[in-house]
Amino acid sequence: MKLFKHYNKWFLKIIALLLTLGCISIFFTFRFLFSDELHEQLQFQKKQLLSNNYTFINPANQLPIEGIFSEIVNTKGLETTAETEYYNKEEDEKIPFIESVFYKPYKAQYIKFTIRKSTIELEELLYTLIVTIIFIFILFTAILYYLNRKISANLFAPFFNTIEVIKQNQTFANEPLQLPETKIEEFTLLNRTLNKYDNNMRNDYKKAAQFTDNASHEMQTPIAIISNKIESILGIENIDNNTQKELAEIFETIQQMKQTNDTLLFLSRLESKSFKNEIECNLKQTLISKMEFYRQFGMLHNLDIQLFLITDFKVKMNSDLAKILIDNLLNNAIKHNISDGYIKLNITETTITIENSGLPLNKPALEMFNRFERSNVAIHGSGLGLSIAQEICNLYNLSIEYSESNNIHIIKIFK
Amino acid sequence: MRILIIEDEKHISNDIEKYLKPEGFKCDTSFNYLDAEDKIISNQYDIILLDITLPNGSGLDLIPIIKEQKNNTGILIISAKNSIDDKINGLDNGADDYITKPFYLTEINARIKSVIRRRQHDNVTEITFEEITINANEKSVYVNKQLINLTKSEYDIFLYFVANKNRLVTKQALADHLLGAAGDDLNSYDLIYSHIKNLRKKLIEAGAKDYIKTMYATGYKLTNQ
Repeated sequence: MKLFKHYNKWFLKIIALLLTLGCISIFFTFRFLFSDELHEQLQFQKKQLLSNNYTFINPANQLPIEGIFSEIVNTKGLETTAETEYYNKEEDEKIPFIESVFYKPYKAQYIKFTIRKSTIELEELLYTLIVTIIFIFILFTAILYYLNRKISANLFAPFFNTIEVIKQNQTFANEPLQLPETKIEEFTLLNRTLNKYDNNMRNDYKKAAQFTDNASHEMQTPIAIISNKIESILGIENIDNNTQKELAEIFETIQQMKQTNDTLLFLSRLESKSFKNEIECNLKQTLISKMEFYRQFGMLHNLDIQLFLITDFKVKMNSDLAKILIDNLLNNAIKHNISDGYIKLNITETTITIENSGLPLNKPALEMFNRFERSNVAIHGSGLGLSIAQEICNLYNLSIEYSESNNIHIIKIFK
Repeated sequence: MRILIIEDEKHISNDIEKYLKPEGFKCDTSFNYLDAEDKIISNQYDIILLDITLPNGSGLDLIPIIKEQKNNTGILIISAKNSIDDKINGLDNGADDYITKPFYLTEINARIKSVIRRRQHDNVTEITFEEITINANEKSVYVNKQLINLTKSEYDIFLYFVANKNRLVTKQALADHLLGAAGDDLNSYDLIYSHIKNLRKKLIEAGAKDYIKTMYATGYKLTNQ
């Protein structure tokens, strides 16, 4: 859920609660104040009636709702002040009023005074007041909600800007993020922290890449020296077969070391995105140009290589990497094949599918892209081929998938 | 043929020198930029092996100096850097070829001969080994003046053998020469073996002697001795 929605959810809940509580408290407060005022008025009139010589006598049985009424009674009854209701039959409504009854001695008898004041205005006033308040509250909330929306969209603009910059920055190894300062302190802090984090990360990354690069680079000369010396010794006549064989093994191992070293160097360059010069590459053409090379390997194992190259598959990429990608995929399909097996190459506008017969995988297909991951350790190879293929695909936003079922291996690349 | 080896790593320089001497090359060596510059100006070389990373300078800067001498000197760049940018840079600057360390001695020998062949004024493109003649322009091979039909791989192997005649050609060097890095993970020795088997058969059938010898555990040798 978006922060703003989250905020609004709470905002509206609190507003609703406040509105309810506010209305209730306003209702009771005003009611109390009004009724207090009426009571005071009643008391004032009572006081005046008791102190002066008023002796109003009203013989009517039915008392009007408003007014002061008096009658002479023999006994003093209970003096009360109460809120009560009068039922008006004609209009079928209850009319609320407040009534005060008290007695005043009058020639051995009593005058019973009854003061009544209608509270209907009070109720109406309260009702109007509450409705008005609710209306104002709702209007207020709606305006606030709208303004919040507008303001927060504006407020969060630098935040989304930051996210966008990070998203867009594909070549993080080469270029710093450069998030701008904003008017909002918090986002400036965020950007500064991210810039700092990015700097540290790039430094660490550079160091790691530099290390691999340096290590591989420094290894090249010693490997070259050992390789050259053994090659020279191997060329000397009259070495006994045993020594010759041992030396040949050392020579072979050195070459493997060289290959691994070259591959690591290549991977480190790939990761640090040193391959530029992107041109539109048609992978279909790249594949066709490699076919003669791979067919000779196919022939060694009597592989049936079938091509279904329907359309061009164009990607804007470094042409050397395009070749390396195709090499690694075909390499894999040949290396992990079986005698008299097959390879099917299928290209459509958006997919390249390489299907080959082989042995069952003993690892999840997804792990095949891990470095130094080999399903069959007996097979000669660096174990970096598919990892490189994946890295290249990642670099150019291509998806790559590996699947295997019934000893059929399928690698699919799609846009 | 006079060669200047500009390479700061003495072991490598010496190994190249030792390897090239029996080929009839007269070798000079230079271990740094200034000495190299001096030798380039004062002597006339047929080919210069040039390392890019040198003490007190970049080998790439020596290329214009070599060109100024107008000696039709071939330039073969040797570098530890196997970055593609370097390669393009070197070739754009006028180098004839480019080889990365570590390399095989047979490979550097073959490259040198290829550069020299391309540089020769009189356009001699025929290489003769006993009764076998290679026409490098046509990429064709004749046995007793009879054209034999070789595949591209067989031709490349044979040319490599002739460049390294009477020397051991390791199967590793041959695989690297023929297949490059793409063949690293594949069973390239089987393929090489299969190509050589066919090549030998074709040469013998055409009337040539069996000059290609299999060397125990190591590789092959084209020999007339």
